[in-house]
Amino acid sequence: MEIGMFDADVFWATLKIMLNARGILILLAGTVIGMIFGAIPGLSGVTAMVVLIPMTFGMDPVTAMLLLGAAYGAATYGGAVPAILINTPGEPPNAATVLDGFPMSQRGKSGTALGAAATASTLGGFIGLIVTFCFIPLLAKFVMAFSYPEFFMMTFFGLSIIAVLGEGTLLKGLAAGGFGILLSCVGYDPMTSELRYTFGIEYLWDGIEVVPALFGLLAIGEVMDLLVKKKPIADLKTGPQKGVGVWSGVIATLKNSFLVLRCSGIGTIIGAIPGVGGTVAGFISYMHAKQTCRNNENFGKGDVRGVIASEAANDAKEGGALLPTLAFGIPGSAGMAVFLGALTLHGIDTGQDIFIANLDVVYMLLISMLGCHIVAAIIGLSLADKMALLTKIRPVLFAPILFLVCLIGSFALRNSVGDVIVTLLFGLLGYEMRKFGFSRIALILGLLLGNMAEISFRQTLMTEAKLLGFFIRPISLILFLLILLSVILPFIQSYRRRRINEK
Amino acid sequence: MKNEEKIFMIFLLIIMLLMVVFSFNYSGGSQILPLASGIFSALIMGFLVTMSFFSKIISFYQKFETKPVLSEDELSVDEKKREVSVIAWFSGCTATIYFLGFLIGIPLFLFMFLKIWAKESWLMSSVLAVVVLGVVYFTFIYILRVPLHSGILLP
Repeated sequence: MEIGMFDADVFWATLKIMLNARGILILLAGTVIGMIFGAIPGLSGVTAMVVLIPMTFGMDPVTAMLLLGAAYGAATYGGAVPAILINTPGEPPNAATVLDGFPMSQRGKSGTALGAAATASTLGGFIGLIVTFCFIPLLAKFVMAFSYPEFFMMTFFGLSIIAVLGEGTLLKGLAAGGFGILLSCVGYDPMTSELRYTFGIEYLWDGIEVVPALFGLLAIGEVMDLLVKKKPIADLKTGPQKGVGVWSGVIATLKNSFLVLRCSGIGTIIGAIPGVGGTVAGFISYMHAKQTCRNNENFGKGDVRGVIASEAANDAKEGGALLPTLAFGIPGSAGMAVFLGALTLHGIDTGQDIFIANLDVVYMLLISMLGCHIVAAIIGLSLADKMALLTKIRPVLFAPILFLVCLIGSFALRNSVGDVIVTLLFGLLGYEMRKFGFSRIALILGLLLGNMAEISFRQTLMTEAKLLGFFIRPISLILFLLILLSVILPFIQSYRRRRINEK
Repeated sequence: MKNEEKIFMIFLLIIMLLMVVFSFNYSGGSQILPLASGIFSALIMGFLVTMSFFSKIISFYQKFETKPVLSEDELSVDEKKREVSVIAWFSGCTATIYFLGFLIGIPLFLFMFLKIWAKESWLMSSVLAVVVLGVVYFTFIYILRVPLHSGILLP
């Protein structure tokens, strides 16, 4: 059978396995575990799968994929919850959600943001999976066309978002982004293994880990501010309103269904490219939404469309990421690498073979990830009111616990006490940056993408010999033009707005 | 622009410049990104620092300056005191965890912070400290089997 051919008999047989009592129970358990792991900073869908894999040893491969697929698929929505409520993305791909999600919480609209995130995640997840499995042959060709110049352009595309971030001023954002790239150079040079900026400290050999820096900059900076001001996250006068907010988030997402579709498309394509990652998908979609939506002046200040764009993209990317993993055996992310490991443990080969010998496993992955999005949305929407109450708790009770959760979460990533110290240092830096209007997201983007950009840039120079190598390949050139457009567009829009105001 | 912000920007500028200087020691390709990003960010930061000193004279600078999320003006004397004490408490907590480990550091910090800093009741401070320790123990040690750092002073 050719990749992408649909076999109705196998599909229905697999669906029946999921829809019996045992299947539904496993789906529920996987989804709840995934959501909890996604919502706890430091844990993630990957951790959830690692914990669950030993439990799948006694299961057949199809049931095992049901459990793992549900846990992994639900984690991304789980990660949106702390991003919205406490400015701490549960997972790095949720980083773009904080840009508008947390300001919404501060304005007492956390219910709306959570409702929008649940709906956008579900729709994005659906679109990502369906598009991937409908267009496997086409997407496979597209993915295979990617090489070093295209990878560089993708990371550069991610970095160009710094120019359109709403937080702080443009110059301060650029300085923070540049500083982030500079910090990404700490540790081994990925090409020559030369040590840079390590000053004899062994911990720095592996560079600065992004997740502890992320927790420090976003969460601890916020925690400190809460304690200094002694005010809860949400304004108590306008605090979360019961019931109303959640459904207005659902309606807002449905009203912006074309935006969901576009951002899901972006997420799927970026997810299908190995090594680029969900964080880039979230930020590029956010930038796309900010540049294409009308009345975009509230982006960064609590616009629900910012939450919709990033959540739709980072859930859609899971569908895309399955493509290189299953079709070529190339894991595009840590999560997919664990998936690949789980498949191997159950004696399943990836590549063309999986579409012939184990089509039921492929369908179960698809169905379980679709199913978990529905379950996650139901749980998320019904609990959103309760979760929103978190923003009303007195900060003296809540903030020190959040601080400790960040420290433990950082430690749990690599069992390194150095990460705990890095979290604190970045926390202090984040607090000062917040105070003086420097974009913390720009620094994170620089830190996250700097290394990736450096590797692909130098690999291009080695393989293509000249800088021209970036512009002679069609996809690379298109990406370059898109970057130019995305950087110039805000200035044109701002100029137009000024002209209209003058008139 | 207040002095505190200028000091912060100068501090960042010095770090950036030092990193640029260190990057000259690296060989060929290893030098490209540190040098390029270092010079880029140092130039912008240098411009911002310079402008901060001349902001009153050069009026066009106002175009680049927007109101920070939390300006120093908004911090009262009490808030400034709290800011310093929170930094001290958090640093102390990290140091305690480093020396004594998570299982001692977590309840100790939480209890002391709630009782002394937040002036909560004995009951609330004790209950929260014990509950958080229990949740951490159950989640990380019992379920996830993560060997939490036990401190460099303890065996």
